[in-house]
Amino acid sequence: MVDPHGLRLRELAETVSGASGVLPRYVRRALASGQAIPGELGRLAELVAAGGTGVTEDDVRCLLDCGYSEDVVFECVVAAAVGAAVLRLRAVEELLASCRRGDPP
Amino acid sequence: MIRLPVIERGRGLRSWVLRPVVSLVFGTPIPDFVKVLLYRHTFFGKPVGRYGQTVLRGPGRWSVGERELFGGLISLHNLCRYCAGVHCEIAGRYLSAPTVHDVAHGRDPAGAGARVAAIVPFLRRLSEQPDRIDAGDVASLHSAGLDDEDILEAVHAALLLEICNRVVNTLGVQPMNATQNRRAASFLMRHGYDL
Repeated sequence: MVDPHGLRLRELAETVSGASGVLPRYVRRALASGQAIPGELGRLAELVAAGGTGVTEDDVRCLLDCGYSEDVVFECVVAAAVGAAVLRLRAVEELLASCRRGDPP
Repeated sequence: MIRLPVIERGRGLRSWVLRPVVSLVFGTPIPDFVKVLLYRHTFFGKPVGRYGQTVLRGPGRWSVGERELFGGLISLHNLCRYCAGVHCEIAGRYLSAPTVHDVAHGRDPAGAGARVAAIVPFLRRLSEQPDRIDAGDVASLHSAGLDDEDILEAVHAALLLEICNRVVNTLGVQPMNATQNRRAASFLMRHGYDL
């Protein structure tokens, strides 16, 4: 079954992962597919994936004070947010496929 | 105040030209999330807008009001007052404000119809515990008359907001007031999301 909406989400994920940016593409690709990354940015990405409400002014300020540029933080936030959606879509697609095949629970 | 000063200030010709225009349209200072969308527009604003246009306005099995309702209730669930304000406002214009309020807050789950009542708990569960959805959830949806395409389309309306809620919450985007929500809703109903 073709999912035209899924194509648009994958297009967004591809742009966020592959467009020119300052955070390395492999890092953005990992985040935009719902994977964790290590380090301080990984901690931010984890909070974003959890909904973003746990991020404080100080969290962002600390990253900037540590030398991360505003663009790096922005790219990390967007990629992790997209990753949260991609991860959920994958879960639904796999579940629907499994139900169609009649897999045992 | 947005937590990244470069977004608060704006950068690039597009931002410089469009910010005053948006302020004029809204009749108020430019909303914070519009600043985010204008910042590095081709990286985030444009592709997320195209996704939004497809899932909330494109041809589909759910009405525009129902899809906006899904976006609004996911935003409430994710404590995103910015997105909840505008999407519930739009949903309310299509489905009536009391209906949206009652469905979104679980007071009258069937207020917007049996199909909506069936999918709403699934969308909430997917938001909160994506690794816990299972065949029983799908069986319940199928027995309520929803097929896989219905399910996927509703899921996408929710996923759009899963993305935007996280960006908004993380960057400290301030919610709009009631007047701004009304103006934003009118604008988005006229022009859509692919801007």
